[in-house]
Amino acid sequence: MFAYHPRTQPDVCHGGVGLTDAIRIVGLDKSFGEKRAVRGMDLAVPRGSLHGFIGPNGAGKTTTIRMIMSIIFPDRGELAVLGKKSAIESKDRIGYLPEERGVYKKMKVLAFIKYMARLKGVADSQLHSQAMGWLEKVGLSDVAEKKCEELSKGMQQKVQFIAAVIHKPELLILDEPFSGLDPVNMRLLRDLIREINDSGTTIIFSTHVMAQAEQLCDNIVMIHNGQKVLDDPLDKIRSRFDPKALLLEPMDRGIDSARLMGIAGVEGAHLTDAGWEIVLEDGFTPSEAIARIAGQIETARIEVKRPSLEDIFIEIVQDDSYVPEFETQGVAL
Amino acid sequence: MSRTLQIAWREFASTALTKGFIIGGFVVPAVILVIMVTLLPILLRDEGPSIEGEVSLIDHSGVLAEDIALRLSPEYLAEESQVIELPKIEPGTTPTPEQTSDMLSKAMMRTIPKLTVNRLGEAADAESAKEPLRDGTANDGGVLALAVIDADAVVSAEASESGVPRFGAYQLFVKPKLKDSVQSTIRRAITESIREARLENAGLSPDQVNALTRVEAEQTKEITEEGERDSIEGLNMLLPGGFMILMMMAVMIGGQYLLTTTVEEKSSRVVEVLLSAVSPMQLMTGKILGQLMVGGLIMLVYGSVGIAGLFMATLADVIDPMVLVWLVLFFLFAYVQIASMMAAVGSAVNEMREAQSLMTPVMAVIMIPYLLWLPVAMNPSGTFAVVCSFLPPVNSFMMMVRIASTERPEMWQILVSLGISFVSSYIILKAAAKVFRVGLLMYGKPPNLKTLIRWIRMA
Repeated sequence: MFAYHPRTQPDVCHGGVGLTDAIRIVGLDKSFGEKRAVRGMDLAVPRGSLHGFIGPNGAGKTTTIRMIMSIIFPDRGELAVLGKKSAIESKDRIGYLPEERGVYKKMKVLAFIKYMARLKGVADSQLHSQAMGWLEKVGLSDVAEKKCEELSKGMQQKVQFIAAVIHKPELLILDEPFSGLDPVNMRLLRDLIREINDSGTTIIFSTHVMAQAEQLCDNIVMIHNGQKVLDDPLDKIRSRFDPKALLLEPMDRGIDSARLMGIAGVEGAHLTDAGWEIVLEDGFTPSEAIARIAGQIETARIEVKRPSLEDIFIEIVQDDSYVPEFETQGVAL
Repeated sequence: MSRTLQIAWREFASTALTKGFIIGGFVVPAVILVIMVTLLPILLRDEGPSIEGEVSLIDHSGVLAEDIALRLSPEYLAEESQVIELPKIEPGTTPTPEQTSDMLSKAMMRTIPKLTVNRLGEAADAESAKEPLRDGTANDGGVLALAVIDADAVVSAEASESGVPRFGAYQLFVKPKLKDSVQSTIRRAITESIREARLENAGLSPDQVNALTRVEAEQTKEITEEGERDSIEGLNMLLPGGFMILMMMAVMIGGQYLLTTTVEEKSSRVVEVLLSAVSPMQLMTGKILGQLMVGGLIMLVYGSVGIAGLFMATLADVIDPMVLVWLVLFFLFAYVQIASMMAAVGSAVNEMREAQSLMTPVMAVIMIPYLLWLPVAMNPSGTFAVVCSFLPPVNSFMMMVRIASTERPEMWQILVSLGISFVSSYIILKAAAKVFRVGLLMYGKPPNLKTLIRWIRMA
């Protein structure tokens, strides 16, 4: 079975001290004319983590990623990638799937992958086996000799993904990797990302579809208007933005809100498409409330409402008084 | 292999090792050449439709009408044309420009017009005789021309102050669009008729005068180490032009492909994938090197064909091997300059259509040598030529014209020009690299020249 194991090199930076973070960013700024695309970004991505960059289109995710990749350069600030001052010094150790998909249309699939692998420093002796191994893994071995232009968009995306990982990078950066994929290929790519992460590769992926980040990531970095507004593990974010609410689907669909409001600990009840959303009073735990409700109302389903990243994001951007917790923490290089 | 060389090889392979390039670059020109060599002489021998019509003649001299009618008769013209023989071209060889021109004019002569002369009498009114010429064109037939010969065309009516007799001549009126060759035939017949009549009138034998006035010198010979050979007039002029066109062709083909591939990589968004593996400078250098190989291949193939042609014509010694060395060196600098500009333009635009406006300064650089090579080749040591050969970015082309000409420039001039080429190549390459770095990831509205200059300053 074709297995993925990242090639690793010792990091030596800043006086020869080994670093544990794959990426460290301090005070990064980037403007395009009048537009400030990234503002005062601080970030630390630990080795082996799976980080999700989320935010709406135009938030600054791609600009940040391009600066990490040294494709564009910051106006201000410092960054270190895999212990080096610039990604240029460690391009062979980084895999990158850009947001803008592109392949040489007239080139054959296998030749394209081999060409990209060569540029990434894969030894000639391993080129063919590595390329064919990956093609088989993503179900494209039968199109190896076809021209890239003959492939569907989803297939081209998988070819590009192979080009990003074929050299077994220590750090993999995926910019909107799921866009344009059907559900089957989305699941395939998700499984591959998990497998690569499990093998020790640090992964950053950006998306504006927050549900995708929820499904994959351990850590979330939320970016809005060029600023980092959230940077925490997913569990911590969920507990911090816990709405203290339950979702209830009663057996009797005709139940009214007055009956629900009469239960001790229930502060409010709103009917939604999925059933009733019940807001709890301060001091009542969800387990207490569930027991009380289940005791008084015949229940088809009841569960604690988990905040979605989308809800959290909307809450943050609509709350002018929101102050990020990390604002005073800073990151030292 | 380094990444730059990997990119260079892909650039070369994806351009030159394709059917399109091989067919367009070599097969089609070869086929055209074969057709020119084999079919052109046959086509030139093929006679077109002959002109039929009437020549009205008013002969005020009263002695020429009969002779002119004889000279314009189809039989006389046919006999005259048989005297002119087409130059012999050996099968498989290319006719020289002089031979081609000679064949063309003589082939035209072979289309013998079928003319009849209508003698209108001395008293005829010339204005009335012109009337038939006003209807239609020469292709319609009928009266094609009216010749009015002066009364004193043969016998002088007066003498000049120095005692030399003054003669009249003739006027020729023709229908619109009458072929030049037919007009020449009519003019030659009348002129010869008048000339011979004058000589006879003066008691001289036309044959004797012809023999006395005709000087038939043999072909000029060039003396070389290998022996003597016919001198080819114009070769000394054509050679510098040939070198410049060869260099220009190689530079332009390489540069044009560089522009196209850069725009393609940008528009297909593959450029960002590449930039994750290599730096913009590595990418640009690799692409320039790759297309340099394409331009070099073109120059090698076409140059070899040219040199082989000179060998076959035993003219190989007209090219000094040192000229080829200078050709390679100046080609390198000229290519780097043009290719850098092309790469910068390609990186700045989103599609080929948008490149047109930014191509104007590049095209100006390319057109200037075309416009200037002839005056430089005619006077290669003149001030104009010297100045042109020091003026970047056209100096590489102009110096090459001078080097290939009959008057080789002094070595210091060649070296100074080479130095200027080196410095200007470096400056253009640096500026282009800055535009390339900024432009590659810029999408949307294509920049104008002002924006490009801003990019150069900010990068």
